[in-house]
Amino acid sequence: MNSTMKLASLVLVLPLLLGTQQSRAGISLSADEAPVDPPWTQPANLSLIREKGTNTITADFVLKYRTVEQTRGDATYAKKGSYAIGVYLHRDNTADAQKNDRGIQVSYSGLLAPDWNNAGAVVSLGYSIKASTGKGLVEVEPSPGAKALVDKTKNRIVVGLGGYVQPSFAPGSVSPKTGVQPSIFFVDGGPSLYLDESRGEGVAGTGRLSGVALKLGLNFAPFGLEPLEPMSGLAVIPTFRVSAQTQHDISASGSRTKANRNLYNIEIALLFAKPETAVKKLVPSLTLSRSVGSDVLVGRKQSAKTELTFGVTF
Amino acid sequence: MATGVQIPADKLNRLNGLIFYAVDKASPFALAYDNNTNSLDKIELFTFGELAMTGQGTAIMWLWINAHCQPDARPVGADVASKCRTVADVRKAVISNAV
Repeated sequence: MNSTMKLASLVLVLPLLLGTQQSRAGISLSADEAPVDPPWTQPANLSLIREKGTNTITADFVLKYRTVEQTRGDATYAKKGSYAIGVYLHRDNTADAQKNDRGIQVSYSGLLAPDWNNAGAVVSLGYSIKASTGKGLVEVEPSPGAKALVDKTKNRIVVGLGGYVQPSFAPGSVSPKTGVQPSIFFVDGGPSLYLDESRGEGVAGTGRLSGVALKLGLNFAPFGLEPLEPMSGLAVIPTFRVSAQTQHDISASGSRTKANRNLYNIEIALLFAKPETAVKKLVPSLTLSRSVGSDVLVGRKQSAKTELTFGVTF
Repeated sequence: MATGVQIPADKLNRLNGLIFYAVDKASPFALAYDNNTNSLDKIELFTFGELAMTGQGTAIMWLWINAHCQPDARPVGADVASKCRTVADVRKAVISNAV
């Protein structure tokens, strides 16, 4: 099993321009390793650059606090849940790339496992509600040819359910064996409701939008999710995912219009892992995905994208 | 539990039963219906991967254990749970939290 170790880092970088304007010195303070499972997550970056008498500030702060999980259960179920609150600030006063996004998000998320037949499928149900409010700079054209930056207010509530089903192997048909990684297949997804509002003087596409969404994903790992004993060096674990999402707007106001949106995605991931049982290790991965469609909740307009991502997991 | 303190047999049996039930719930294999895997001792050396447990399956296993282990044991913290790779690791983590 390649469970992802939570590793948060807090990085404070203060590049300073010292001496002549051509030379640059920097101070980097880095705490690579935070406590396992900290109540707060996400990194923060602050950069102050003085060049030719002008200060440029870039700041990225996302601070999230999660409450202790409350776990409960009886003979028929087990469930847990926790609240989280997060604040964010993305600020950049570089003249040609100004950014000033700030806001707050409050959420509750939970997981429920029913006590259905253990010889049947592995099943769980996630549920969440997220509310966020914030402002961000957008460019508007107050008069022909003129450009100005104004604040756009964004408010959103999303309530969602997330099901997980891993079909069972038929009783008696197959037994687990030492050194054998069975292939893994599971289905995830579920419905959600969204209410999205945006406001701003002179900003296009403002008003309210409400709707319902449904997402379904099929996941397949033909050689399991754990590296086999080493034949040589690094093991490669391929995984495949196909997903489809549909969004149907129920109401629209202001200058926004109702629409139906679909988003399809196919993804092939290669996880490189050393088959040792070290708890903390750097695991590189390579993901190739192709997606077609649109998604109002991430601000994606109708488009087709092919993405190759190189990542590392601790 | 303090090192060297004997756990009462009934408590140990309940915890072992709970661990087996939680692993069986999180694995797509029908462990309880197979003579090769119908007890905790028989599945102890398997890794989560050999039992076809995913990350979500592992989360379900810990959720079931932590929701039902009291009053025999304290719930297992995420820092310890994240280090477990085999059923034996789970057993050790749960039993060491016995009260």
